[in-house]
Amino acid sequence: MRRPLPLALLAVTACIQPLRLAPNDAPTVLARQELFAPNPSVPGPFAVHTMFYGSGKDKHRAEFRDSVTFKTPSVDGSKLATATPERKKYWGFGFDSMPVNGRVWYPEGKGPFPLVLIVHGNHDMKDYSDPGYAYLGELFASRGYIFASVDENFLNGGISGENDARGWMLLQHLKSWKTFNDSVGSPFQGRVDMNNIALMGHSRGGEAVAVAAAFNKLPRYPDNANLIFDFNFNIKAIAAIAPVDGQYTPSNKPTPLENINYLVIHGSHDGDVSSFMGLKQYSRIRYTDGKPGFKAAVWMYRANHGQWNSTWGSYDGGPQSARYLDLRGLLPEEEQRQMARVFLSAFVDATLKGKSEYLPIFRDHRTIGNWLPKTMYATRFQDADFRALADFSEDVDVTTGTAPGVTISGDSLATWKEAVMPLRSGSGGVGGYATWIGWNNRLAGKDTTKFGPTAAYRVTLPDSLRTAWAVGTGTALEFSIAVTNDKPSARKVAKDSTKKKEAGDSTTAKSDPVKSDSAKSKPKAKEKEKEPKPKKEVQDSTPVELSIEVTDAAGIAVALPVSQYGVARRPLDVTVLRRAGADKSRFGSLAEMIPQTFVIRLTDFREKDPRFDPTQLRQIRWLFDKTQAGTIVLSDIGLSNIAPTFFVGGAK
Amino acid sequence: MKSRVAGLALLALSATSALAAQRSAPIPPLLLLPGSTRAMGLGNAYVAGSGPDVISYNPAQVGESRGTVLSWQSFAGNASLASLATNTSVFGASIGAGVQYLEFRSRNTDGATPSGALTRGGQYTASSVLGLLSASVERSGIRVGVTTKYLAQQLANGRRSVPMLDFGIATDLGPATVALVLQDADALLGDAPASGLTLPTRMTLGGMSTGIPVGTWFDVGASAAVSIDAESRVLPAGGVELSYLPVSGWSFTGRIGGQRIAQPYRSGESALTLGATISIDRFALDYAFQQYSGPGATHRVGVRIR
Repeated sequence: MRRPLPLALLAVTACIQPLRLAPNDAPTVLARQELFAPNPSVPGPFAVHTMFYGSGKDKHRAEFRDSVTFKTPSVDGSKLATATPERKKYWGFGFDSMPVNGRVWYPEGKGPFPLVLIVHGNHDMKDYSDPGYAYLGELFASRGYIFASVDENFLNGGISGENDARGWMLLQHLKSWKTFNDSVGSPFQGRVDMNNIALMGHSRGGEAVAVAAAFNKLPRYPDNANLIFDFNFNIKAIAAIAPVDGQYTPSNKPTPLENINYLVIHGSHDGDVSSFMGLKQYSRIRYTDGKPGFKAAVWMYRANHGQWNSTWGSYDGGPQSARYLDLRGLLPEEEQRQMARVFLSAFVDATLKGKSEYLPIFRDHRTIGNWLPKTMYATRFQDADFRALADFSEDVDVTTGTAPGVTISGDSLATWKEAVMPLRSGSGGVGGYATWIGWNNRLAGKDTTKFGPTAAYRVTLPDSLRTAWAVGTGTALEFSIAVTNDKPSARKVAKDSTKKKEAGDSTTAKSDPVKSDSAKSKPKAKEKEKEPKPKKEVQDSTPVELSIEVTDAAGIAVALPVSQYGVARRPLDVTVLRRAGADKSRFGSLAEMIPQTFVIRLTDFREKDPRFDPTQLRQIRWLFDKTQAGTIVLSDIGLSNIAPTFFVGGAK
Repeated sequence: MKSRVAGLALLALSATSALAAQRSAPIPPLLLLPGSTRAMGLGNAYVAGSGPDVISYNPAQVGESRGTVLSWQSFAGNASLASLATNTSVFGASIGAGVQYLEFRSRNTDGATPSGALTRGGQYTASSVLGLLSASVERSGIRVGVTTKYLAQQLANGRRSVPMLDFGIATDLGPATVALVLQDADALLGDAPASGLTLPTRMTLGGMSTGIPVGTWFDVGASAAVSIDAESRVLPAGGVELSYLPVSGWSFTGRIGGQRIAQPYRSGESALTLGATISIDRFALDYAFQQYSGPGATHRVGVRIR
C-alpha cells in the first residue's frame, strides 16, 4: 500500500475493457465498385438556398421567430401527448398549440422538386436537434430535393409514449407544404412535387416516420377516434435511421405498413438503441398492391446512434456518457455520415426520381465498394414481388414451407429447428422467424480426415407453385443467412443411419444448438477415448461458405457458392460499454444476429449449366460442403420475379 | 416552491425559541463528533446529505440512499470512535438506525473533555454509546423525519444517560437539497440537566448539491450549513468535493471542508477538514482527516455498502 495511486490506476485500467474490434473484411468485401453511376453522395448541380417556416413566436430560436418565410398556424396535438408545466414554461406553449417549425434547404429552380422531410428523435430538448441534418439538407437540395428538417424539440426530453405525436406532426408539416405549394403568390407555388414525398426519421423519429406513413392512410386516430385524419399524401418512401420500435402501438398493435419503400440503417455500436429495432418494422412491411417497391435494412459496423446527427455527435447517452460508453471503437463522424449520404441519397433518387440505377445498392452493398467507408455492412433486402417459400411463421411443422405444397427436409443435420430471430437487447425478436441449421461433416473418431455425407437443407416446390408464381428466367431465389458461433460436434458414426437410407438423407433432428450440439458439450466416455484432445477453441472469423444448389424437374442440378452473392459473416462481437464485462451482463450476447440477404437469379445457374431449366425449378438445396461445421440461421426463403434493375447493368 | 421555503422558515423560527440557555454541565464529546466520514470531509455541513449515516444529521434525509455504513475514527491512539448506521423502508416510510461508541480518556472525572482534546488523552477512562432510531416520510416533495437518540456515558464518577430528539425537514429545489433540522433537542422537555449532561442543541439550515457534471469525467458537489446553537452563536460550515469518474460504477473523490469551531466544547479542532472516497459499484471506502492541536490528528475511515 505504499503506492496507492498506481494501484488505483491499475485497478481502473483493469476495469476498462480493452478495445475489441473484429477484423475488418472491407478490403475484400468492398474491394470493387460494380455500380457505375454518379455517386449519390456527391453534391448535385443545383444552387442551394435555405429558409425557415414556423410559428414566428419561438421563445428561444431567432430563426423560428424572426426569420420565417412562412408563418404557420400551430396545431392541437393535445390528444396525442401531454405537456408538463415545466415544458410549457420553457417553450411558452402547451401541446394544444404545437408549432409547425422547419428549417429548409431547397434548390434554385422552378421545380417541381420532390419533398423530403427529416425528423430528429429524442434528445435534450434544449440542445436543439433539427440543425443536425444540415449535411443531408445541403446534399439533397443540391441534387434537386426540397429538404426540411422538422422541429420537434418540444417533444424531446423526459417524455414517453409520444411517438404518435411525432408522426402526426410530420403529417401536419406536409399539410403546410401543400399550402406553400398551392398558395398563389407563395415563393414555393408549384415548386413542390407533392406526388413524390419521402419521410426520414432518426431514433424515435425513425419510428415516427412509420407512424406517419400509417396515419397517412387512416381516417381517424386509432387511439381516439374523435381525432379525424385527412392526410392521404403521396408518401412513397420512408427511411429510418437507428429507429426505436414499439414505443407507440396503435390500438396496442405494432404499426402495420403496406406498399411503401422502406430503408432502415443502424450502427453496431449504438449506445442508445442498442439493438437493430428497425428490423421489426422491416419485417412488418407487406407489399400487396402488385406495384414495384422494396425494403432494405443496412447494418454498419462501428457506427453509433448520434453521429448521424451532427448536433448529437458521438456521446449517445449525453455529455457524460463517455463514462459508460466505449467510444474508442466508433468510426469518425464524417465516415458515418458519408454512409448516410450514400444510402439515403440513393434511396430517394431511386424511389422519388425513379433512378433505378441505384437499386442494386439495396440488394447488395458490395456493389458500391468505392462509395462506402471501409467498414463492414450487412444488408437485408426484399423486393415487392417476393413470395415466401418458407418464412417459418406458418406452423410448427419444420417439414412444411409457407407456400402450399412446399416441403422441407434435412440431410445429416446436427441442428434443425425453427424459432423467432432474437435481438441481442432481449427486446423481443426481430419480428420474423427463421430456421437454425447446424452441421458437422466430420465423423467422430481419431481420424480427423474422415467425413460423412455432406449435410444439406432442402426445400422442394410443388409443380403447381412454379406455374402459379410464373417461375422462369426472370425469377431470383432470395434468402437470408445469419451465422452463429455454435459449432456442432463431430457426427456420431454409430448413430448414422444413412447406410440404410438414401445417402445423406437421414436427419430430421431438432436439437438445441447451444446445449446438445455445441462443441462444448461433453462427449461420452467411449467417444472421449477415440476423439483427439480438443484444442482450445479460437473464434473463427472466416465467413461460412456453402453452396446453393437448384434442381429442375428433369433432375439437372447446378450449384453455386453463396459467397458469390454476399458474405455469410460470422457474428461480430460488439462492445459498446466501457466497463469490462458490462456488455455481456447487459445483453447476454455480444453479437447481434444480422441476416445477410442473398439474391440469386435462376439464370445464373443456367449460365453455369445451360441444361438447367429455370421454369422447371423443383428443388433448392443449401449444401454445407465448404465449411466443415457450423450453424446458420436461415430466413425468408422465397422467389421473386425481381425487376432486372435491382442488378448492376439491369437498368440498361 | 414558495410554500416549501416558507415552511422551512417557520420551523426555523419556532425551533430557535426552543433552544435552551447555556448550561454548565459538560457536553458529551460523542455528540460533538462527526456522524459520517463523508460529512467530516465536508466540514460537517451535512444536514442535506444522504446515506444511512445522515441519521446523525437530519432524520428527514434517512431515506435518500439505502445501505449500511460502518466507520471507525482514531484520535492519536487516545480515543476511538466506532459507528454503524443502516436504513431501509417500511410501509412507505424510511427507517434508519445507528449506534456510535466512543472510548476516550478524560482529564476530569465528569468527562468534561472538549472534542478537540480527545487526541491528548487523560487519566480517566470513559466511554459513550449513542443509539439512534429515525423515521421519515415524504409527502408532496417534502420529507419530514424524527430521530430518537439515547446517550449513555460511563465516566469515572459514574454513569450518565440522556434521551434526545432530532426533527428535520428537507426538500429538493432544482439540483439542490435544502434542509432544516433541530438537533439534540431535550427529549425530557427541560429535564436533561438532571442527567448531569448538557446537550449541544442547535438549529441548522443547510443545502447540498452533488453530482454536478464538469466536463466528461468530473462531478462536483458542494454543501453548506449554518447552525445556531444554544448560546446563539452562528456556526457556518461548508465543503466541496470533486469526483473523477473514469468508468461507470467507479469514482474517486476528494473533498475539503471548513467550519467555525464552537468554543470551548470543540477547542483544539482545526477548522479545516479533508476527505476522500473510492467508490466501486455498491461499495465505497471513505476517509477523512482533521488536524487537532497538540499531539496529533484524527483519521476516520468508513465503508459504505449500498
